[in-house]
Amino acid sequence: MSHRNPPESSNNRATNTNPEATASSALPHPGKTSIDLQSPFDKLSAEIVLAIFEHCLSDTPDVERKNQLCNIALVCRRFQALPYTNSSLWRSIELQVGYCWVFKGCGEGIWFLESGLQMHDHDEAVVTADASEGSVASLNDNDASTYGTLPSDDFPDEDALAELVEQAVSLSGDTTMVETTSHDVTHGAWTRSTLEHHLKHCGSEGTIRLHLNLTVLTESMNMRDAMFDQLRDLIDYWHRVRALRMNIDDWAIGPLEISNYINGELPLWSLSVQDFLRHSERIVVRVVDAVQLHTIKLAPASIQLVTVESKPVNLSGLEKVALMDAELFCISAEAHGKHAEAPRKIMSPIERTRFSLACVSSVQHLVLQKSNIVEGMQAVEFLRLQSLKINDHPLQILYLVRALNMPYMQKCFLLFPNCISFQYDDVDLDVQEASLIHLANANGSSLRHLIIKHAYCTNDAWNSVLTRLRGIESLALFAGALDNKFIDLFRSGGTLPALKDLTLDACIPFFHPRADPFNGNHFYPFSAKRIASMANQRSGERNGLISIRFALGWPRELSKKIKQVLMETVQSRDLTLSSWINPCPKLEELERDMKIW
Amino acid sequence: MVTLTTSDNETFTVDKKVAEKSVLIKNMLEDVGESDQAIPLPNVTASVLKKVLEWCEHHKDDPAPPENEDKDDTRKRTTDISEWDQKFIAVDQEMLFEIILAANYLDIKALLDVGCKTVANMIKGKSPEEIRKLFNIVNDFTPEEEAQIKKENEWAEDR
Repeated sequence: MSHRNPPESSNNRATNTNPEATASSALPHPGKTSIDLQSPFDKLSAEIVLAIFEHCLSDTPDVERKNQLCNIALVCRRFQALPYTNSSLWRSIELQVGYCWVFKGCGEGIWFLESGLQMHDHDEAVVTADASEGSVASLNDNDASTYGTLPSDDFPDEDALAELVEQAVSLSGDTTMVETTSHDVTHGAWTRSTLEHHLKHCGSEGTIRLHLNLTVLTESMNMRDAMFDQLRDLIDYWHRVRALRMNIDDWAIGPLEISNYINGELPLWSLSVQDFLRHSERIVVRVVDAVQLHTIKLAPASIQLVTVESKPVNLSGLEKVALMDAELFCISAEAHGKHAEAPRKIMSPIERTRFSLACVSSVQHLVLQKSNIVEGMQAVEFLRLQSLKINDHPLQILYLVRALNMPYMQKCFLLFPNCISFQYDDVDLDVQEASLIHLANANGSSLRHLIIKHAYCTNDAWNSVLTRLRGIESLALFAGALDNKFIDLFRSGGTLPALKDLTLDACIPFFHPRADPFNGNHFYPFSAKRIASMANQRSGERNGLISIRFALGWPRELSKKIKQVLMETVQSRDLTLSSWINPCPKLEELERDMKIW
Repeated sequence: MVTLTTSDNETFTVDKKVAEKSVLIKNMLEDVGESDQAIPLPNVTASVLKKVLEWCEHHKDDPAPPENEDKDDTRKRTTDISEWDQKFIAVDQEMLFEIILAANYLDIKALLDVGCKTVANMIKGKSPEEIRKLFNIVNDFTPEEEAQIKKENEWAEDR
């Protein structure tokens, strides 16, 4: 590489090496009237401004970073609003600063109160947010995320909280989820009278979901005990009035046993445990009969369902299971006694996994993420399974698709690791290809919808997969490394005869793990003309392709150009060209299904 | 060689390797195939393109960014601007922002990073009023709103 002297600056304006001085020298611009004055930031897109903010917040000590963020927010409305519109920025700030800001989202038709949680340091968590600072928001939005205001130091105002809940009840019909926090519990904002007040507003026919956000202050066992005392009180009362859907967001450090508070008389319908801080080792839920438990979501935590009587936990009612970086232990008290520690010690990982999966064979929707499935696992039949989502290492995915017998599965969503953050080697790529081929062989006739993310297959492998998917109606490939030869696979009439929706999104050719950009072995972007030719051919077929979502994502200008070419050259009137802004409805619906909630 | 035409109808003929530092141009070249036609760049003026090409010329032999670039913390460190880039980007504020816009349009990530880092360095450590003054930003908060935001942000202040 040649090294040259720094530029003398070919631009006449570029003479001052001090960016501050040069920056201020441009304000105001000589010869311009005050009407012309505008900030250079006005020209920048939100994406660029956010990138600048991220640079501002990086490489800065925690305390300064928080101050910097506050200073940015105080500059103008746009600067204040932008970070709130960008969850990824907030997430990065969360991680860097070490405080937690609770973003909540849930399914359509459910409403929530948003709370904030502030950590003074990594060991102590103190909830300072209140519901009066939160917001009630419609979650009909796709993202289902609302970004509330920063928490204040005020404690909750019960009337304000009640008003918000009342509003939620009136707007959401007969289903309401109320989210509260340990703060609310421990400080008495959620008292029996509060609950009674809300119940009156729900009407006799309504079902209330109490979403309890348990925050355990580990430095204060007294507070923790007080919280559970309150909680038990609430549940006891609640149980007499309504059934409970227990939803636990656990921030606990150390094992947490909630068995005393979900006693055997309480029908447990839905259990969600999310240990965001990954400090909790285990959750123990002790139930007499879990036959009514139809939904379990663990992310990530180890959970043990144990019984207080000498009979196994009955999970025959389970329909939806999401194990995300989590393990599910379903332990019989008869076999292992009541001590929660015993089963973990005596069961090998293989036995545990096999047993756990066997217990959930009735499920219709299954989400597995880093679920520690081991090789050699016996085949598990999921005869009722309709949708499957797996997010894992290629080898784990291969084990899973081999082990799970899912003859009637219609929807499948496979997430392989992104090669940007995961170092693929040839073995991983071979394994990945083998997974897809196995899936196509075993489920090719039942599969109707397939989403694959980060698929880096050779064209031969794709050919092998696609020719087996006879029933596929919608196919979406996100962020794979695809090239023009891949498009050619669709040309023949015999491939994917039922295909109606095809999505090729952000299929960045340069990121193919096997591509070396320096030796000429490039994967080239799609040619617009080839896509158009293929679309014309397929749309002319009987029951042909009617929708292409072609969002290449990057670079955007190229995508626009391809769209332009397609618009000009694709002849079929039935062909829908949508962009990344308007995703195919079916695929969007599919992805939503895969998230279960 | 590749011919580029700017919004003010100036034409630049540059080495293909230099032009292909822009992913936009690279993809356009691949998509349209071999052609003698000039590539129009309607969003870039001649003065800005000249600066951008100067950067591309200097960095034409740089290796491609690592695949895990987005996950690389070091990329976002504002102190990471090389000496040459610092002197290159030491332009007036208007040109700085024009370079950022051009880099974004042309999809030259490394140059966009240099621009964003430079602006970030200008912001860092400054009060809201100083930031407004530096970038001619109008304070569109009402006094009440400003007070409210300050109150909400008290949690973040030093303890």
